[in-house]
Amino acid sequence: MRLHETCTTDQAAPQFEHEWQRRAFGLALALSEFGHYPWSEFQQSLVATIGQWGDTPELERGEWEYYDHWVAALETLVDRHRLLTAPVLTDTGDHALPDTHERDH
Amino acid sequence: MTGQFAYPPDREDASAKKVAALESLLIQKGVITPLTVDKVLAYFETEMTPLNGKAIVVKAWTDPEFAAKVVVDTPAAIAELELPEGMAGAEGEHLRAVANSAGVHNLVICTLCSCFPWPVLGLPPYWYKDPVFRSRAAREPRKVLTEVGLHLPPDTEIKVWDSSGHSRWFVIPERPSGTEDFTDEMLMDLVTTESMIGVALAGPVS
Repeated sequence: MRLHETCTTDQAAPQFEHEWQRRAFGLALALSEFGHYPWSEFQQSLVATIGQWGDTPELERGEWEYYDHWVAALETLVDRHRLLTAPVLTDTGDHALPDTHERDH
Repeated sequence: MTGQFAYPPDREDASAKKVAALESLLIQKGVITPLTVDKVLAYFETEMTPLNGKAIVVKAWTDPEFAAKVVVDTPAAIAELELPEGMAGAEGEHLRAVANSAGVHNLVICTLCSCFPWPVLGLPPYWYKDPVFRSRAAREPRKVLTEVGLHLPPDTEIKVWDSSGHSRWFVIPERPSGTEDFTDEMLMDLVTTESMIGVALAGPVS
């Protein structure tokens, strides 16, 4: 069995296949950088969504698309930290204030 | 296996719309500004690149003391180099290096998701995140390496390193022979992202 055709060791292999994947990547990173959640929490969320996919029988789960899991993990954290529903508390540098997190836990 | 990686055409559309909506809602809400994501991406794409990994490898090739230290305490060794400030929490703090040597080849994978050492290697090639690659590389590394064009001598031991949230591995490939007179710049050209993942060797020397 060979790896699928996109598996080349060509250095020019694109890092993102689509612009929306790049935006999703940047958005998740940005929210963490600005203190809305710790990066480790995003990783755990990503691992959980990928794990769920892995545990689902092959016929019932969708095709593999890494960035679909990425977006699902991001949505989970946006909900969990109520980023779209709770009042925004940031400092002048746009960083989340500490009590934003304390309120969530 | 052609169909295995196909997915409905509207699916990409749905994810693209979700991301766009999420970003614009977060901007409207004032959580981020219209420039935030671009700024983060720009920093990431200019500073967190394989150039960092290349510099680390070349330093290890040319400075035995550094070579010894980088495999023992990778973050401390890297801190001595003049590399861009790592972004807090973005995968840099748990970097661990493993060095290839005569008879030992290292291959880095992540069986759980994709714990990739971004700050030194940039973003992973997309095939790296493919479950087929990940599980096969864990199970039959020699076969997978042969398929991607890396034919190792049969008596070379292959060590597979599974990256995790706590250890983000990268490989220090062996310095190719015939490069004794090379400048650092010429050496850097020999170090590829693939060689730092362990799916290729450094080089070739032209």
